[in-house]
Amino acid sequence: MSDLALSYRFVPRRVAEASEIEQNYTDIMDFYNNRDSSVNSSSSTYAWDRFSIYRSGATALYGANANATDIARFGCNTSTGQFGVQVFDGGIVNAWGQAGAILVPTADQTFPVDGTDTTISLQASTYSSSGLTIAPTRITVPASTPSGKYLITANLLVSGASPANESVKLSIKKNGTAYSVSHRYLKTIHPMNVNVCDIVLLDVADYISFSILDVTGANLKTVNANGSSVSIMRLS
Amino acid sequence: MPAANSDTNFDDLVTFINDRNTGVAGWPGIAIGSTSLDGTALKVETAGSTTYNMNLKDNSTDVFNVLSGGSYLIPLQPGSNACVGTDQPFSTEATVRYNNETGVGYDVQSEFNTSTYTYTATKRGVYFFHAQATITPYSSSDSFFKLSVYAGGSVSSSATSYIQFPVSGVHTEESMSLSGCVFVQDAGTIYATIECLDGADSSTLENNATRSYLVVRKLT
Repeated sequence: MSDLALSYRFVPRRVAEASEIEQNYTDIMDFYNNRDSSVNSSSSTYAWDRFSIYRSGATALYGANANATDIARFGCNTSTGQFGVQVFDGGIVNAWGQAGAILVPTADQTFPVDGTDTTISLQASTYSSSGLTIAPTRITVPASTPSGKYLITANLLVSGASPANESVKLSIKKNGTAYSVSHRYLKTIHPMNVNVCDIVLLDVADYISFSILDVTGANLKTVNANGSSVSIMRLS
Repeated sequence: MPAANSDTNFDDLVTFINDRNTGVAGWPGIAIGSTSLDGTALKVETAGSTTYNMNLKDNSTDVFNVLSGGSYLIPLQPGSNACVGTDQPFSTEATVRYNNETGVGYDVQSEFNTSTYTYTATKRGVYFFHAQATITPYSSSDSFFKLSVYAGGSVSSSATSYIQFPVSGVHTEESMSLSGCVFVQDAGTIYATIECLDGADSSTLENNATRSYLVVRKLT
């Protein structure tokens, strides 16, 4: 008989006291009952101070994986199967729930030579999330959306100018007031682009619109639907 | 403790443990720290000494961290920063030769190819781009150029620009730029072309990271 077998055979088995079993059971149930309403550890011995997947240091929520499909998924839309945030194995993060849209003009749009500011009529193009309300002339932050900063770009292709000096102004407007303006000279018969880019803080019910204005009042000009687009993407 | 009560509790505990990976009935959510769920699936509220509110790793590499205080880091999020490394003559439409990646730490997914001058997205999504071209015209007369950014094989609708050298006889370099957002699918490409609209005049796209470059960054 080996030493190992002997030691196994003769080591007395410890029998837990009934009170100890009951205490352990109480601890486990306390832990279980706190799973959805974790309270401060100073007021509850068995609160969830942190939740760890694999291991943790001082971090509240820690997840690490090896060769899994995804590391984390948040906010699944069960009707579309898309995730609001999806952290892929390898570290790339998709944020499909983030509000944003890429839009193009609904049609070629001629704007007057009398200096009237003309709002561009837009429609969603290659990307549009549910986090914004898109009407032809404005993009609005819905009531349920907290305030945040949005990257806004616009690039309009304008035709109709002559070789004489002519110019146009493109504006990003927040709630109808100019926020960023780009002034462009169009001394050519070639279609010319005018673009503008900014980051804007938007609150609930704020809206963004884009407008163009003929500064010089010479030839009738057109914003070309093909070759123009704008985008609004929430950053934070 | 009454036996019936113990049985019920035990059943609850078994359900809880069995549902730990499927997150159905037993796991309506998890609350961590000084908080309660209030209908939130995962809620973390910490104070003071916590290093991170959340720290996600792929093996031992950080991929998504929410810092105490609210900032977040996504160090492996795709993007690139490449420039024209050698002066590029052009006349008809040609792909801009971004053959030099100078943006240290940008191309963390190795998605930019300096031989084809093309960014290839690993994952679909919306990407921000900024392209700048600095040109020295061949002709001293007015010249017109077109810078285009292609996304997914097509000219992005937001990425065509024209410039004009404002005064005849001025023979110096001038810059043009484009910014915008494009949506591309998995393996979708982003690259730029340059073209002289006035025929065969061979002008020059100037090199170096401060003058002719393409920046790409995944937003969603």
